[in-house]
Amino acid sequence: MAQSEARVILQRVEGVLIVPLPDPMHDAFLDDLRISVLEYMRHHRIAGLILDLSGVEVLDEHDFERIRRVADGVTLMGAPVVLAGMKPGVAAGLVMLDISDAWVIPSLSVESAMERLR
Amino acid sequence: MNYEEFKRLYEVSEADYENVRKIGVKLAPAINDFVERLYAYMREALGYEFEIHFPDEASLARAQSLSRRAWLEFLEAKWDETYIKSRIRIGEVHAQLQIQPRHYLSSMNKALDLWSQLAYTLAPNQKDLPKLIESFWRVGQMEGALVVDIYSQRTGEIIAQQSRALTDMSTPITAIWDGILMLPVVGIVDSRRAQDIMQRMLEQIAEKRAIVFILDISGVAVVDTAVANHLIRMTKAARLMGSYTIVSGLSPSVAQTIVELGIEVGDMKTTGNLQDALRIAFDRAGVEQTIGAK
Repeated sequence: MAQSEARVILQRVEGVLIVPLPDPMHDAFLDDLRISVLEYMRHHRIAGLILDLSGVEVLDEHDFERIRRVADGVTLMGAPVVLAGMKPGVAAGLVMLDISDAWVIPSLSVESAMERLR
Repeated sequence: MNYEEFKRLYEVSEADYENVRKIGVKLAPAINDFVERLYAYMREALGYEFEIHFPDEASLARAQSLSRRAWLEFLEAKWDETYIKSRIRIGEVHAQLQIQPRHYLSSMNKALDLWSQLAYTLAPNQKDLPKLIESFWRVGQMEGALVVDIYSQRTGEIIAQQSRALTDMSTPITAIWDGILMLPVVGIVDSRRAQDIMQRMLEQIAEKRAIVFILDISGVAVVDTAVANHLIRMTKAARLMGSYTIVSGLSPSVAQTIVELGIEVGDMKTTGNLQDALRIAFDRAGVEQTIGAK
């Protein structure tokens, strides 16, 4: 495994987990993220998970599908997942790819996502 | 830009400058005669366009005095900062006045011709005269290329500026309340325009943190499948960013068309008039309505 890959950091703020997504995003990161969050949820109750996309400039179909899997898992365990701060370029790109995004609970920023989940 | 490149392209060497200086000393006293003959040629050759560029005595006198200075600089033949700066200025002035490159270049050609004739009359006994004149032409033609290059560069910048202004004008996004943006779309929405609108819309959502975006389409000429799809895309992209889009101003005929074409509008929120859209927007943005509230 490459050394440069970002590690998953779970930040808990007022019962909400906040995870900034790195750019570029590796498959291993999202897999680690899924496992860590689900494991965490086994022992702690959380009000929700916020995935902070404000640092992500490029996101393809594949990454988006992986993010969906994380969201699905967490949702199954009973907590909502919010995608916060998506960049205009990323949003426009995803729409052009014509992929399903009905599952997404979006938010303008981490701040407004917090307001929503608290 | 790398101005040295011009010297290389036109194979202009130090010796050429030396030669121009040598003959330049002899030619400088004839500058007034030269300018007069050059402008006489231009008046003849450019016809009515000459009148457009130089509508009165004052502007003509000004142009002539600038030409006089530029040519005296040329005769001194110094390739330095001042010289390059003044050539850039000449290119800019020509771009501003929209003098056609062919008019500039033909006048340049005439100018070099005039100087050659003057050289033969003023310094018939000059050593190596044909060689000196050859250098004179080479430097002159390089200068022509330099000025035209700057001319086209400036023209390109002017066009880019205009197209930017046009995009801004065609997408007048306004913040009508805290967290509420509105864009009245007017005219024809083709895919290029839709792209522009979407880009500006998403940028503004990110910048202004818009909770609600109202897209008023009462001024859109035709709504067909393509336009509807563009609108759906815009709505979806805005949603992904966390903003709620309301498409307002759907006329009965547009609604009819959408139904007849069987366009799946999905989650897109639409309203018939702007007032309804505003009410929903205020609700979403948490603005208390005291006027017109039920």
